[in-house]
Amino acid sequence: MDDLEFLKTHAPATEPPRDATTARARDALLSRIDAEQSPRVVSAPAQEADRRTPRRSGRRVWRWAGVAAACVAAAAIAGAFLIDGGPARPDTAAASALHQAAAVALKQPSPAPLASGEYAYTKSEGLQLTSTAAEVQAQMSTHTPFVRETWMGAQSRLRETDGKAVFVTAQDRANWIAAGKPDFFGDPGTSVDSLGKYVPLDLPTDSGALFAELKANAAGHGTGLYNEMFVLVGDDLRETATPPAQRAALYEVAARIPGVELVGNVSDSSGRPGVAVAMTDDTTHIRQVLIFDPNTSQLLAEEHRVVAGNEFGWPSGTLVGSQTYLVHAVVGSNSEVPPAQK
Amino acid sequence: MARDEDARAIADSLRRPSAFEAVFTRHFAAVHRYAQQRVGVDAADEIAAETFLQALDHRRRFDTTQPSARPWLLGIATNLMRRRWRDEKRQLAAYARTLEVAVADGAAVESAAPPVGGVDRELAAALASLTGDDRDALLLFVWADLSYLEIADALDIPVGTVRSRISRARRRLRERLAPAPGAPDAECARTSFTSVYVHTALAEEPDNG
Repeated sequence: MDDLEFLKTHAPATEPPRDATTARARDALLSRIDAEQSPRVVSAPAQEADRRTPRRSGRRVWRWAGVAAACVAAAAIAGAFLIDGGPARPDTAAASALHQAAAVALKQPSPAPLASGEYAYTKSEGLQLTSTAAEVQAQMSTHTPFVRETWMGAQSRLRETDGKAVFVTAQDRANWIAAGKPDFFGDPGTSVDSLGKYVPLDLPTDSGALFAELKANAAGHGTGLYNEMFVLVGDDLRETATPPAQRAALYEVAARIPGVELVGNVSDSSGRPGVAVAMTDDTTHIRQVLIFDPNTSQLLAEEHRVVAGNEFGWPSGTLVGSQTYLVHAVVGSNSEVPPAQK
Repeated sequence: MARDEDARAIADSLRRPSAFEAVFTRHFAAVHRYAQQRVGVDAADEIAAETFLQALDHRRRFDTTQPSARPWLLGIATNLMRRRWRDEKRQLAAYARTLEVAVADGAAVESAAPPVGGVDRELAAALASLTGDDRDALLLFVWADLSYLEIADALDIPVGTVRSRISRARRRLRERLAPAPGAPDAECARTSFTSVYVHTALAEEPDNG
C-alpha cells in the first residue's frame, strides 16, 4: 500500500449532513438570495421571474475563461457612460436593416400553438472555446464542436453532444505539451438535461413597450445596459419559437440600441445567406454577431469573437463561440427527432 | 450531471439569484463531507453553510470554463478552514489521543475497522506536520478526489505548484509513515516515534486561527 492508498483508506469516517443542518444552511442561503433580489422585485412585474426562466434556459453559456469576472469592476463605469447618453448612437445602416427584418417578420404566418404533447424542436451546431486562465504565454485553448438539440414543451429537454476538441493554434498545443499534457479537454460525449416546463414568451408586440421592458430587465446586469439589452434580444430570438409579431418588436428594439452596427450580407457556417448585425462589448472586448434570414427574419446563427484589447492577448477575431440554428420543427415527444435528422 | 449545468445555473443566477439554489442542492453534501473530514462535524456545519454564502456573493468569479462548481466550492471551504486551524488541530489531536488510549487498553492499533474518526495517530501526526498549503493540496487530492487541474482552480495556484505541493507532502508522509531504520517491525517503529511526534508537530504548526 503506498502513501496515497494509505491516506484514502484511513480517511475519517463521515456521516451525511443532518437534515436540520442542511435546512439551516439552505435557509441562510435563501435569505441572502432574497435580500439580493428584493430591490429588483419592486421594479419588475410580479411574474417576471417565472417568465424569464424558460428563455434563459436556452442561453448558451460560452466557455471562455474568466473574462466576465475580470470585467465586472469596469461594468458599472461603462454602463453609466452609456446610460448617460455618451457618444454611442444607433447606427443608421443597422437600424435600417433591422427595420426591414421587422417588416419581414410581420409578413410571416403565425405558427399554431403547440398542442398537448407536442414540442418545438431546434437543432443547432457550433463551436465553443475552452481556455485555461493561465498567463498568455502558457495558455491552452481549444475549440470544441457541439451539436445541441432542444425540445421545448411540457417537459423540455436538452441534449448536447460534444465532439473532439482541437487546439486553436499550434502554440496552444506546444503549451499543452510543455505543461505535461494534462487532462484538459474532457471526453467527447453526450449529455442530457431537463429544462422544465416551457412557457412561451409573452413579450409586448409594441416596440416601445418592449424597449422599456428589456431596458428594465437589463438594468444592473451584464457589463452595460445596452450590451445587456442586445444580449436579451438574442436570448429571445433563439430556440423560443418567437411569434412573428414579437420577433418584429425585438428587431425594432435592436434598431434603437446604441452601439448596434451593421456587418452586412454574410453566409452562416452552413452556407445560408443572411444579414448580420453586431454589438461590441467594450468591457469584455467581445463582439456578438446575430445573423438573420432576410427572407423570413428567423435567427440563423450567432457568433462571439474577441476584438483587440482583450486581456488574454488573443488575436482579434478569435472565435469564442458560435451557434448555427439548422432545424426547427414541431415533434410529438421530447425525444422525437424530425425524420430528416435521424 | 450535464457538464455545463453548474456554469449555466451560476450564469442564470446573475440575473435570477434563486437559480443558485441548484448549486447548493448539488454540492452541499460534498462540501460538508470534506469539511467534516478536516475539522469535524460541528465545525463542518458552519463551514459548509458559510461556503455557499460566500459562493453566492462571489459567483461572478466562477470560471465558467469549469465543468463543475465543486472544485471552486471546495476551494472556498478550504480558505474558510484555514481560519479554523485550531479545530483541525484539535481534530487531529483527538484522533491521536483516542488511539493512544486504545493502545494502552490493549486494543489492536491495526484493527480491521477504522478507529473512531477513521484516522490513526501516525497519520494524524504526519498530516499535522505538513504546512497548511501542502496539506490543503494533498487532502483535496486524496479525500476530495480532485484532479491536479481542479486543485489549481480551487486554490487559484498554477498546476505546477499543485504538483510540487503534493509531491512535498507525500515525501513527508512517507518519511513519517515508513518503518524506522533498524526497527524490529513496522508496527513497532510506527508506534515508537508517533507519540513523540504528535506532540511536537502539533506544537510547532503555526496557528492561523
